[in-house]
Amino acid sequence: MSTRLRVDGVVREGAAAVYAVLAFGVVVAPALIIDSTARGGGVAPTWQALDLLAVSAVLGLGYGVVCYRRLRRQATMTRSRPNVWIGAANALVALALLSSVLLAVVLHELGSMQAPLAGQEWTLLALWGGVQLAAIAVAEAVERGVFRWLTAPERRAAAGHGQRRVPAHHYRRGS
Amino acid sequence: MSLTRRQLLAAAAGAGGAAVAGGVLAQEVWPLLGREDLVPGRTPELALRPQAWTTTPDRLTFAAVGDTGTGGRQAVAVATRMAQGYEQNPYGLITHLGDICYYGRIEDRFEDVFLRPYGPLVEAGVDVELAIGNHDGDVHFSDSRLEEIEIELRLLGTPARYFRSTHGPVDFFYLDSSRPGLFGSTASEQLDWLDDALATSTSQWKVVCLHHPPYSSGRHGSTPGAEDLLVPVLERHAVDLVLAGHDHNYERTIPLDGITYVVSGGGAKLTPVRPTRITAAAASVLQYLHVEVDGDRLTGRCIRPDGRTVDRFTLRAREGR
Repeated sequence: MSTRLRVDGVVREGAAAVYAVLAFGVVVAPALIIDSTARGGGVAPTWQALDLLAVSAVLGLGYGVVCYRRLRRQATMTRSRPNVWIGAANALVALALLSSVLLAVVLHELGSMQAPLAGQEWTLLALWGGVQLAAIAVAEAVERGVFRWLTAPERRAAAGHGQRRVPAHHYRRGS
Repeated sequence: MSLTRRQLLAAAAGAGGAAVAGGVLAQEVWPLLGREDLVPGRTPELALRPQAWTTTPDRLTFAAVGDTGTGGRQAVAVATRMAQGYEQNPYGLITHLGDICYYGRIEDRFEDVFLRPYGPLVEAGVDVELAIGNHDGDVHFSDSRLEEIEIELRLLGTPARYFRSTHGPVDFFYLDSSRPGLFGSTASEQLDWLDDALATSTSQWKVVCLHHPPYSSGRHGSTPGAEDLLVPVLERHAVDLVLAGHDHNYERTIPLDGITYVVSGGGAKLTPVRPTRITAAAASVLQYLHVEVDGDRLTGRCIRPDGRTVDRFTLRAREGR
């Protein structure tokens, strides 16, 4: 392998890792904000108070790994690398907005359900995790949708002058 | 590198989305998550010794807190610290400085915002007296808001919208500053009442409690009109201490014509405070004020949920009292 190809590979891997870290950061941001506000306000740090951060960290870590692997895979699926990063950037925007906005809206709207939620810790954690999972799912859908749309001409061309569309999963196998 | 039309469109959508998302997150959503207290709090599990306080004609211990009405984790942290403060130094009175209920009607949320966080103190028999705040009812003044305030007063057992109470050596004067402006169209009626009530007060200490602070370096700032309308009445009758909320922070002024003004509005939420020339102590912290009156000395301590003391001050009774 030439030096240039090796450097290209390293840059690609590095960029995928940076993106994964960003995705992780965006998912844990709401929990971090709430936790740091409470600590700054004088609430003593306890393990119990870290429950939301722990849920977000697990989801963020999982999604970070998914992003990293997806970005590496997609780099082999298209001749134009911007396709990968444009899709990823759109997904990150959707994730950043939804993971925070959905939580704020849901928590605010469920104000009248505070007593039941406070009495059942797992319900609160499930709600928190569920909302973030929904944001992640939407972000992933955005990414896949944008990537498919961007690579549609390539796939049509590969199928033979647009006579027959090749499903994306065929293309992923490298056929 | 040249981009295709699709790539340009998608990149533009991403860039536009990033600009919008960045603005919304940085200016609205993340500050909201930091400022509000939206995550439900755990019910404090403390059993306090009932009626453990001692009030005599020259001794009183009380707590002052405002803006507690979220029922969230931060509100519960403050309430829990207040219960722990009771364990260490029992008090029989909480002067609530308003905004006991955010995000809904008090009838629906009384358990969330009051009975659950303050349950240990309520069960110990601690009295709560309320100075009505702008969130005690709908934000806009209306008949339904009046009804909401009446419900709130009934739930807490508070006798009237503005009233006077005596505990040991202290006369407390509670004002209703919930109407837009300082006391709205009933300003003169309420100020006349305060003037008369202060004139007939014979207790050694006079403490005025209201929601909107006459002086504040916090986010809302000093209440317009207070300096012209209210402060002359307070000065005329040599009030010792004015307790207020509204700004979600702690602030104590230097004595202004003999009166110390304290904002104790860190009962659940946080907003920044920038000390000014009249500030003796200020901090953007969750807190409550633990006050001990012993003869001619009043000592106040601003306490954070982790138990740390943010500020401590001592006032001496006015000469001749």
